[in-house]
Amino acid sequence: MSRMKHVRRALVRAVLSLPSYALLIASAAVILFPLYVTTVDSLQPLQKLLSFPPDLWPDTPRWANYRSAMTDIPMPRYMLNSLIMASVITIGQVTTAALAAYAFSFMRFPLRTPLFFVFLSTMMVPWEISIIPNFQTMQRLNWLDTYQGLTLPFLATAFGTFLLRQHFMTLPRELKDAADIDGYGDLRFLLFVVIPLSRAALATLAVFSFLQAWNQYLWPLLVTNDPDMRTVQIGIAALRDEEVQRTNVVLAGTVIALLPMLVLVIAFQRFLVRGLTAGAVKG
Amino acid sequence: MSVRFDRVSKAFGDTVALSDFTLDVADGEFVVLLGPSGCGKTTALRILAGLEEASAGDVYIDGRNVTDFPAHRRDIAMVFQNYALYPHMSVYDNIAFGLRMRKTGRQQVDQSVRDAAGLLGLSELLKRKPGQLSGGQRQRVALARAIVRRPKAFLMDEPLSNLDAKLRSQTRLELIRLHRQLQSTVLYVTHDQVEAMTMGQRIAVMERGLLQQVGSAADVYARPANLFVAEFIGSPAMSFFRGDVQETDGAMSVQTPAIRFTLSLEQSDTLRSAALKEVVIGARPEHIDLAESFGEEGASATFPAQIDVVESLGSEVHATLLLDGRSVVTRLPADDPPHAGETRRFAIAMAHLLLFDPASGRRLP
Amino acid sequence: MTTDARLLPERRRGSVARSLRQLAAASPFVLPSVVLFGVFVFYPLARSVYLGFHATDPFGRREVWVGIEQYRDVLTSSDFRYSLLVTGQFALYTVVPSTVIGLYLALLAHQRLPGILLFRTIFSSTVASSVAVSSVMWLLLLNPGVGVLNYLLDEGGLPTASWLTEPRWALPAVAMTTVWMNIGFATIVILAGLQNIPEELYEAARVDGAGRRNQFLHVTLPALSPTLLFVSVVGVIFAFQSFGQIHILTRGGPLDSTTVIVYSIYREAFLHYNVGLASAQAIVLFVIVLLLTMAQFVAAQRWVFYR
Repeated sequence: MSRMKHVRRALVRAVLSLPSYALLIASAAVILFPLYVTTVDSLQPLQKLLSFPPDLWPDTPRWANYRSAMTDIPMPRYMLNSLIMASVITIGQVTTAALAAYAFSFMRFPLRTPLFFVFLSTMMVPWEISIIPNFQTMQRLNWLDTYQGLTLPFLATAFGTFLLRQHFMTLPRELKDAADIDGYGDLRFLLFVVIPLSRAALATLAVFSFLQAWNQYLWPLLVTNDPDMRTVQIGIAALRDEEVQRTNVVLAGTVIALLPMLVLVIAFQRFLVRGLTAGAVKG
Repeated sequence: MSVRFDRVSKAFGDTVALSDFTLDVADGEFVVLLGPSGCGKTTALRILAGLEEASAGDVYIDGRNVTDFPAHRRDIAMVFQNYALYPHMSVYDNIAFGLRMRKTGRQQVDQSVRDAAGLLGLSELLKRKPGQLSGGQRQRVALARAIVRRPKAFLMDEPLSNLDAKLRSQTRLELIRLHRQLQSTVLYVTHDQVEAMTMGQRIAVMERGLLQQVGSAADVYARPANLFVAEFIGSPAMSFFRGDVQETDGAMSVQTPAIRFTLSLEQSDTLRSAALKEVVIGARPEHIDLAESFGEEGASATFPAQIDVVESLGSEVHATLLLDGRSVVTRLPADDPPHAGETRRFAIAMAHLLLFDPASGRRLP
Repeated sequence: MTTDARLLPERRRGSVARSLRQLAAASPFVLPSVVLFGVFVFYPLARSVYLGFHATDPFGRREVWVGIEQYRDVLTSSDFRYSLLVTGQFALYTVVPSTVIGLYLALLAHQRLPGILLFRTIFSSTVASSVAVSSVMWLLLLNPGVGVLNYLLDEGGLPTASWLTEPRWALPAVAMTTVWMNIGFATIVILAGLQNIPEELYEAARVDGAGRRNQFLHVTLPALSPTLLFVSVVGVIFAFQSFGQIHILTRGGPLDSTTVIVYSIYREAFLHYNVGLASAQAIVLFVIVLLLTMAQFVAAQRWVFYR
């Protein structure tokens, strides 16, 4: 008697979960919709794009659009610029943050606490406030349209320092004591003990930094005029003005710009979540 | 209000947490589910609460089959191991929550809450939030929340495990008094046998999803059903000796590597009817003593042994003996205890020996 | 719980020489960040204040000290006030829907169903989309003639509009794009908050007789309040700093209906070369954002519960 009842109960539960799945699928469809339309249109010949009602399925996908995006539009150049900029910023941020976080957690020095608060206070100053003087600085140094101009202002990060410091604080103090006895200096301790033990936190910061740097818009817009120095974001935005007749190719370029970040976010979901919630979930 | 488990089983995927569990709890009884972690005691409790669904079997509360009822329709209250107090509500609101969910009138709620709070000494703390309370106070709020609804049964999941030792013994007494006052049916889960023995009117010993024995504290102590119960109950634990059964001139004896046990007539009868070649003998530490303290009748199981460790507990001494490569613990009086390193003659009181079938683990008869 | 010695405030121990030694040891570690912050955060802040005190002449040349005048001008100018209004509306149009939809999606994604991981990934995916990518995508969707949005509305019998060129609808349209961008972030953060709520709390509520709705009101929402505060604070700051979407979708128009403050600053400084005025606007923006953030925390005292 009992066995049948339990099997039936399991079936009922499965049926009851159908509405949940319906909602999930519907919501996912709405979220993915812009991406879907863009991808479809990137594969269409131009006439289809201009037709009404819009065609929502590519009967004959024009993969040539993507080839055009890479050859006719300087997409490869844009991607390279973005890659260099994002990589330099990521490496810079991880380095400066690790160094500073180490000092704030393992070292003792006067004014340590006030200095930490000074670091945190920089998070209160939104980037957009500083653009004018920073632009002037770059102008004066003749660093417009250069990689230095694109990357230098972002090499330090208070958020990253905070994130790594919180993690370093969870490492046992005894490790440092043992290293002191063994005669390790601070730098060697950081490089050979702390860093290997902090892989997750470092990965979190790296993913976060890279994503933010790659997706930046305002600063690269200000600092680059030469089309050769444009990053991918500025590139596709500029394209929409210049290449009005080739919207489908522009969209193909957009998809190409999006793809690396999509892969990054999906592959490193765990780290991204950890980074984003570093300040949010108070226990 | 009575509670009944009828052949309840629960499997999580491939793991069987509870197997064919049957137990009757009478109205007003305090029953303890006791066992090591993973034995299924918490699973059984949660199935009774309605927080888990049984894979098979039925559960009855007060005669009604509640197996298909959701948790809030079973009229039970639960005290969780980590108290599960609503952190954003005051103590008053925490206690009142259940009543308010049942749309009880405001005056009735107020009366009940104040009564419960008074019973547990919380009257001064009603406006505080859980975050401002000590562990012991939080525990009492959890209890108050449980008793305020006058449920048919109280379910408690290791409620004392997060308290320090002193608080634990105090709260144990309070719980016993509370039970007496409220005359309620209580199902209490713990892995601590001291709690079980002192609080439970009956103890259900469980292991790996199976019920091993149900009985009073005296029952499970003096008449354990099998090797597991015998070993689990009692601290320090019982010592076991495995040996061959021999019969000489109508008298039965058991030869273990280090000791020869000559059995009494009763024990011999039991052993003969069991028709075993091998048997396990169990002896509790208090029944093992220095040979000289055994006066006239003596004991028919004397043996020399070296004393490994002597632990003094003030009123008595626990001596760990090295015998045949393993340890045997004995409880000795505190005056003139032997010293570690000495080799002395010990003996076992035959009358209290327990015999077990090595194959099934069950006690004979 | 023992206190970590590293958290104790520095006490004055030993000699001055020792302190100097410690500073010398720590300097190489903090100096890179300190220098970078100095040059690119603090100096600009000070310089912006300074620039704000100077009016730039119409030919973009010499700067003339006007002192507090320019700040007063900014605060009283109708253009700036309108811009503030636009930004405020924009914040409202983006923060509230983002938080609500984020909560809805997080609740959906919190269920223990087979395959839920796929949905969680999809819901959080919009974090990958940059401002530029999102704007270009939505530019096409919002196209009045061939855009899919109007097509779908038409099919559904709902009125259509020329989204980005009608003053009435431009801001809501830009807001919709921004909400779509924010949803991924909101979902991730709120979902993490949900996962942090101990299951025991729900079980206690169930035993107490709370159904799904009451569990949500009395367990979920109070426990989520710090997270929701975080999402809304970040959302407001993000809204007040928005630039990219406006630049790509509407260039501040039509009729300045989407000119948020940052766009106004950009326009003044880099299109009109009025650096002084732009800097003053930037400082005022900074103060406003600071005040708003503090106000949110104060308001939060009443409805946010920390454990």
